[in-house]
Amino acid sequence: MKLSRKKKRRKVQVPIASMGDIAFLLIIFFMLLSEFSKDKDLPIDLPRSDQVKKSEVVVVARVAIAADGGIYFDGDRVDSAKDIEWGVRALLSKTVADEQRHVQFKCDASLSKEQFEPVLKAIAEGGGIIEAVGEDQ
Amino acid sequence: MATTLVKVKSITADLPTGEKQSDAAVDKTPIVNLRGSKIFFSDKEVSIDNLNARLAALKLSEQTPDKRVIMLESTKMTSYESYFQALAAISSNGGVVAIVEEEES
Repeated sequence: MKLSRKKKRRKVQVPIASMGDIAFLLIIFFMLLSEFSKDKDLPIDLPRSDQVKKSEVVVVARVAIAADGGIYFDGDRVDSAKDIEWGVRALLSKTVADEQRHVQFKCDASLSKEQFEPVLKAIAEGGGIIEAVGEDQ
Repeated sequence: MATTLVKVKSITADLPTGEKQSDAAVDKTPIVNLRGSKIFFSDKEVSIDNLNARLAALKLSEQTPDKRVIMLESTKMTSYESYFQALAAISSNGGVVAIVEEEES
């Protein structure tokens, strides 16, 4: 004879009280790890090379030259390469370690030497190590 | 405000500044010339792949810092694309780029 036993199902409650805290921690985590893309909207056609590698360094500043020749320092348009030199110099005035001297440089591939070389020199004169951004060929 | 996890691809180039080499020192230093879209290495026209091979043969990363210097000269009409490729070739082979400046008369 088979005896059937009724199984009692227990209701398991999922604790959701801490979900809000976890969500906020995740938001803070991603905010700290992500970078504000200040120069995302600039019209820049990046140069191509097989030698580019994923950049692992932390940059102290971002310099960009748009297709129209406009020079940008951390997203703000500046008048000349001299402003870049002063800006980089000011940022690096108390920096000793090489790891903290990297300056990201984005430039439109079609620009001529007269437009980009003064800016490259300005970064170097200001004490920065150039992280020239490009794309895979 | 938009945030993004940016992992850009780049090359690292530390350009030495404020030093002018003597003519004798310049004569011994390898030089890359960019004339428009053409690349010359020690006055011979080369392709970008050939430049890479020639620079790799110099084994720059095994040299002392003063022998790692590669001069980079370019004409006014050189585009950033060509300049970037030469800069990438020199830097990835362990070279230190020295920009050749035209003397103002």
